[in-house]
Amino acid sequence: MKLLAIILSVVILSACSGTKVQRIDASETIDLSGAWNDSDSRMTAETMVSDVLNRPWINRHVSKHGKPPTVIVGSIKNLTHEHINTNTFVSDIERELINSGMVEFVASAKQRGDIRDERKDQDLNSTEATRNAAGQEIGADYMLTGQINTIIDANASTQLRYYQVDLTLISLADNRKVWVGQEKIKKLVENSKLRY
Amino acid sequence: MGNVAIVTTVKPSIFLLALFCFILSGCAANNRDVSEVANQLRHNLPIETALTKLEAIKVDKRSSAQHELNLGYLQLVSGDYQNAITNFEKAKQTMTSLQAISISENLASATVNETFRNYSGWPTDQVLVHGMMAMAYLLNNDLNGARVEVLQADVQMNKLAETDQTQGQLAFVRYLAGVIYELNDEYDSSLISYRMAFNILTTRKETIPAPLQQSLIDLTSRVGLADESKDYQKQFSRGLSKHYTNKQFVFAFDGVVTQMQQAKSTLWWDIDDVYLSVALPKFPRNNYVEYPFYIHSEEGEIVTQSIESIEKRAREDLQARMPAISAMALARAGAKFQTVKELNKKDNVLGAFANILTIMSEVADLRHWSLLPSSIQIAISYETTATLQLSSRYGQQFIDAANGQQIEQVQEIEIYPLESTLTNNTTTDNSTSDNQLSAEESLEEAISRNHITESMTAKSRALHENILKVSPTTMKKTRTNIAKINNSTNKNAVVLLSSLTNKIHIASF
Repeated sequence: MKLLAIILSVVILSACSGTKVQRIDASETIDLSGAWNDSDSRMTAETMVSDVLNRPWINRHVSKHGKPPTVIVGSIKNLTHEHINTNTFVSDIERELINSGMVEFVASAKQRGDIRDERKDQDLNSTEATRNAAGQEIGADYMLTGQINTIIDANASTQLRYYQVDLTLISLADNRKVWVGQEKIKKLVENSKLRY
Repeated sequence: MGNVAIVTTVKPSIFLLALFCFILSGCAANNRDVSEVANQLRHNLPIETALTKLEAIKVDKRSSAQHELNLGYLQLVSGDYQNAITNFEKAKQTMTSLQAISISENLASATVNETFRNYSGWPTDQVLVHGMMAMAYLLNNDLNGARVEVLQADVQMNKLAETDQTQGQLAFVRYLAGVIYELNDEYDSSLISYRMAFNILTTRKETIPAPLQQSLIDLTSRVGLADESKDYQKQFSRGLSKHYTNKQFVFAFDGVVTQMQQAKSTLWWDIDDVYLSVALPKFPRNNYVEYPFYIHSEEGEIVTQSIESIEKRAREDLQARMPAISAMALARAGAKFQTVKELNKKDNVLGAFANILTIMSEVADLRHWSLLPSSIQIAISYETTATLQLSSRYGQQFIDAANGQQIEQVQEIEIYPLESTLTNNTTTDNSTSDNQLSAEESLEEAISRNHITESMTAKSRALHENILKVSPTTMKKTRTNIAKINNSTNKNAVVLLSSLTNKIHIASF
């Protein structure tokens, strides 16, 4: 009976915890489940962009064309075991590339569609002085594409999660691969064998 | 004075027992409601009503995963893919978080009953949730999402295989993975998955369904393994298929899995004047009769074939758990017996009361993924631009693959009124001529009541009047020769049929 009393007390007490919210720095790394998270996305983007900007393809382009290269980010495929929103990763890469000031950047295919619609609308509704003409777009010189892969090795309570991000920069003029970058992340996730 | 002292000492314990009984009664009631919905679904309850009933059930937190699995499955077969994904995801996360051994749940199940455990899913549930999610993603035209799910299913199956080579190993999920990789042009991975499905079925000594045979032959040939392909051709007595593309991968969910029952034994132990009670879960005899779906194509009639018997898997899961469940039940009976015996020594009346409470609290845990189909069947049709007809017992429909899930009926032209009637009158697993006749009568009534109106065009009115004139036999023929899928998009497609609804779901890739 004492045992029953203890069990019941614990059951009732366990239901008493409330919601607690704590604001934290967006750059702080917190790992909860071991899955791909914002920190992985941000850190991978920083590392890979730093690598791509320090390779000889930029200098070659500038010396040949006399202007910084124009880049567009294409699709980054999620081939992992997780439902990763690759949009945040693409945004992180775009931000790093634009802020570097070493390359020019053009809008994605979808964004271009919206902008063209807006331009058409301006043609009809804007004043001559403020109207933006069609046919003045800058074409990209290079497209950045890639994929995120995982290998998971797991037993009942431990998981080894290996992420590999591969990015390739391809010249749109002649399909040359001018840069191939790779970033690896390895995580050992140990889950408790016991719970309350 | 002595008696008063005893009552004062014993009362809190009795109160606790009574409280326990009260708490656990909620869990048992939840499960009764779900089983009732399952049984009604088997007897033609419209899926929309079943969903409403299921959503109305107040679910104990301990059974939340079971509820979400059931809800997700009904949403999947009724075409609400996004909500199905949401519910499956919640269930998956709950089940994952419950994989560790719980001290409190074990204590509670050793002293009160098994329903005090959180529902963490059976091995079949833990794998099939990924399969069902993959289906939902596929039909939602999200091939990448489906791919993620089959990868997760692979990790889960490998984990389960570490402790038992057969538990949670589902040929359906392996085959589905093969289809998803094939749709994604990953032929190596696809072949590996098809081989795994083949190995599971071979280990179980079950028949290899023709679509899997054909996929093995075609894929081995496609990746350059000519000798292996020839071996398969010889083994299955069939050749290479004409096309690699423009395939319709058909999946059919038939029936509703049998509900578990409680087997409770109570015996009088006259040495100590105590009733002993043990309640265990059991499945009744498997009376499920598989009902195939028929596909009429240019190449002839194709019949769906079973790749997974959920009836068998559920029974195997229970069988594997029975030693632990039985041991716990015996330990619990011992603990309860000892408690009552101690109380009896102090006061006979209180002892008797405690004995009643221990008997009442002895309840078997009957929770499982109770709305799953009894069997999962597959077929492949190889079409180019021709029309694919699907026949089942669920109504006549026309689907244009170019429009995704656009559904309308053919044959009697304005047949969508029949569709709504047939939803309520589809035949059951054990269909009889009586309920077929009743369905036909209802059909006629529905047409006459709802669909011959003043606003109808003369042509429509004449058509409906003609339908009303046909004999029941003709009506039956009309109903049993069913759907057409016009896959004129030159694309591969995934088709889902379910005995719970007359809708046919399709996604092109």
